[in-house]
Amino acid sequence: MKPIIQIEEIHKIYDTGAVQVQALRGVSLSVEEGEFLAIMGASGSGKSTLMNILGCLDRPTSGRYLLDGEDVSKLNRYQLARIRNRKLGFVFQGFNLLKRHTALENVELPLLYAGVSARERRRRALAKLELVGLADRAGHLPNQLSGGQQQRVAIARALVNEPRILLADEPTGNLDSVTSEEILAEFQRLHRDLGQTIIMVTHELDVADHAQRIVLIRDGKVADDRSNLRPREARRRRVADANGSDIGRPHALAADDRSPALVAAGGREPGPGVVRETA
Amino acid sequence: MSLTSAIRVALAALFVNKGRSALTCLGIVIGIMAVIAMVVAGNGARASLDERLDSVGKNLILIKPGGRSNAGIVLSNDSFTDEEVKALREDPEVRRLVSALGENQSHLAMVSTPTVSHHTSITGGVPAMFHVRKWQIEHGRFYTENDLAKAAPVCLLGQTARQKLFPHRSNPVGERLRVGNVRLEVIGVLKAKGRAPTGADPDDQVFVPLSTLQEKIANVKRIDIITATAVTQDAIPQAVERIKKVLREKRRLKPGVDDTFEVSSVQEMAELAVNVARIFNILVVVIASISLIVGGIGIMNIMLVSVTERTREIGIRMAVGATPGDIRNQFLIEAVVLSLVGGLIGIVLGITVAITVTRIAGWPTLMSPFYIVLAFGVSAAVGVFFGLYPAAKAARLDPIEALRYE
Ligand SMILES: Nc1ncnc2c1ncn2[C@@H]1O[C@H](COP(=O)(O)OP(=O)(O)OP(=O)(O)O)[C@@H](O)[C@H]1O
Ligand SMILES: [Mg+2]
Repeated sequence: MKPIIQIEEIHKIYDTGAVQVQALRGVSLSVEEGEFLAIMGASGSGKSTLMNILGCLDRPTSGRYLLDGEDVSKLNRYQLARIRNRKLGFVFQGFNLLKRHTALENVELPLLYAGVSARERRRRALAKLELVGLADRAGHLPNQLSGGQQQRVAIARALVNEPRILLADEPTGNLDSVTSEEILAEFQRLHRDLGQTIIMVTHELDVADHAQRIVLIRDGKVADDRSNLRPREARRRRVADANGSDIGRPHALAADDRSPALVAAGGREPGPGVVRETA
Repeated sequence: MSLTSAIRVALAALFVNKGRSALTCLGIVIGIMAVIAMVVAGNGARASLDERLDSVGKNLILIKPGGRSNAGIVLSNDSFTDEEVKALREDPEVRRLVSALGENQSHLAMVSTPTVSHHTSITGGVPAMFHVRKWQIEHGRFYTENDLAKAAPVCLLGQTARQKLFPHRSNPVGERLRVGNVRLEVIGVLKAKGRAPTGADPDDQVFVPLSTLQEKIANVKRIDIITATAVTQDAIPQAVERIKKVLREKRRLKPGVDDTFEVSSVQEMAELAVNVARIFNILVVVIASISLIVGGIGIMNIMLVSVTERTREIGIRMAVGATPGDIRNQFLIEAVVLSLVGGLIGIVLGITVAITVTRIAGWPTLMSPFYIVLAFGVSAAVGVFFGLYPAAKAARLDPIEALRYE
């Protein structure tokens, strides 16, 4: 398989005037088409910085970045916008939906900037909403949807332009553990059924554990890069259940029960208390 | 992104803040309204003045007794004599430059019919006056040289005088009037001239031959005013100079001594009006510019607030592929839509005000599609000009920082 992403010796220095922050100190990484990769690391280790560069939202201070064979490290703002629009899909921790637009309009957004006709936008956006099981919520505003539903709208939006890579920075960070499972199940399904390349940032090992491969970032460098031979299977509630209330789910505690063991496996990862606080 | 999509996105954003958008438009509304109203009303005023001047005759020269010093002090009030008028009439240069010259004398008196009395002005003149003053006949005829020679007891009525004296007869030709002991036969009625810019009513007059006034009614010879018509507009300045020269010679005024009479032309007054109009135009442009700048700054201010408020939205749009150009266009279109809506409302209100003002003043309403197109163009330009900075500011945002903005 040919690598879809290849980065070499990526450095990123934030110049805040008084101090220079070395967020990335020479990261090299290669991601192949169809991989489901988790980037893990402690807070401040440079995960988001790396993700922003991979997502063409930011440019590295130095280093080379080949995306789909194209060197994108020197592109200007316009060219980067085009790449984001055509080749990448984003899912954020805070969902980042437009508050005053319906689910459908939010999903249509990337197509708007791709110059797709209104009719075609609608058709494709509806298809993606259906894919994430929210076709019946197309006309709802984000504040009329639960967090999990909002994140699924965001996933539909990320997928609507058929991106080469789906990028997710802490996609489960704002969700409770059961809803997180749903989102992870969605990712696993996209990866398995559609062969979608996914790169997901998380600081929780039990989230990262759902991926095929886990890259550990520490102090702006790759500290570990290993394949996850037996990825954890996310539990999916039935669709009928998914639209219902989150209250009183029987397995709400089960996720926390697993935490200590996983923390041990993750070495320098924050303890369960920290996990719950940021979640 | 296509332009229609961009416009739809901009309209949706403006619609979210309906109230604020409306208030933002207000500056432009007032600016455009003021300009349209003032330009249309100004044109109406000018057209009506032009019409008046035209009806008086643009080549008219007025020769009045009573010179003024530079400070405006009246130096002399000597009325003209027959000899002076004769000298003017016989001067070859004046004959060349002037097509007609007429003298007249006015006298206030009570005019009576058997049923009505009316205090009015009786104007004695020569037949040439009708030509010089462009008086036009409605009924009957003018008095003739023959009437003048015989001091014939005939008269013509202006429309106001006719209405006062013969309220029920529009054509009182053949009726008789009495002024003191003198009986006059009505031989004609003049067409209405309309109120003069000075407010005087030129239609409230009774016109008689000069000799009839001097010998029978007033019993005094006193020529109040001489009027002349220059052959062409270009001949006016020369004619004025020549008339002055003849009168100075006749009055034996030494060089350096001020005139004891005044020669003025309607042309000069028209030029004065043109100057006033020019000042008015400058004023309109200044007011328009100020209000449009204020309106534009209002739009810029709101757009800047909007960019800050929507930083996160901008970040999201950029993340999914909006280029800096897409973002700039979105805000630019919003600004232009705001100012165009303001301009449109301003045009409608401006036309309404203009129609009202010109109706009340009795001026013609001179509306041209050009003004509407211009007002539209100007509003669009204001939107672009004042929207450019906020739009550029939005486009310059860094996607990551914008996404992180709370
Ligand atoms: N815009 C910025 N300006 C200056 N320093 C920055 C900026 N963004 C990140 N940093 C610094 O770069 C380092 C890496 O930050 P980054 O956000 O990539 O960490 P992270 O691994 O995503 O952490 P978290 O798990 O808390 O999200 C941190 O030390 C951070 O303070
Ligand atoms: Mg982060």
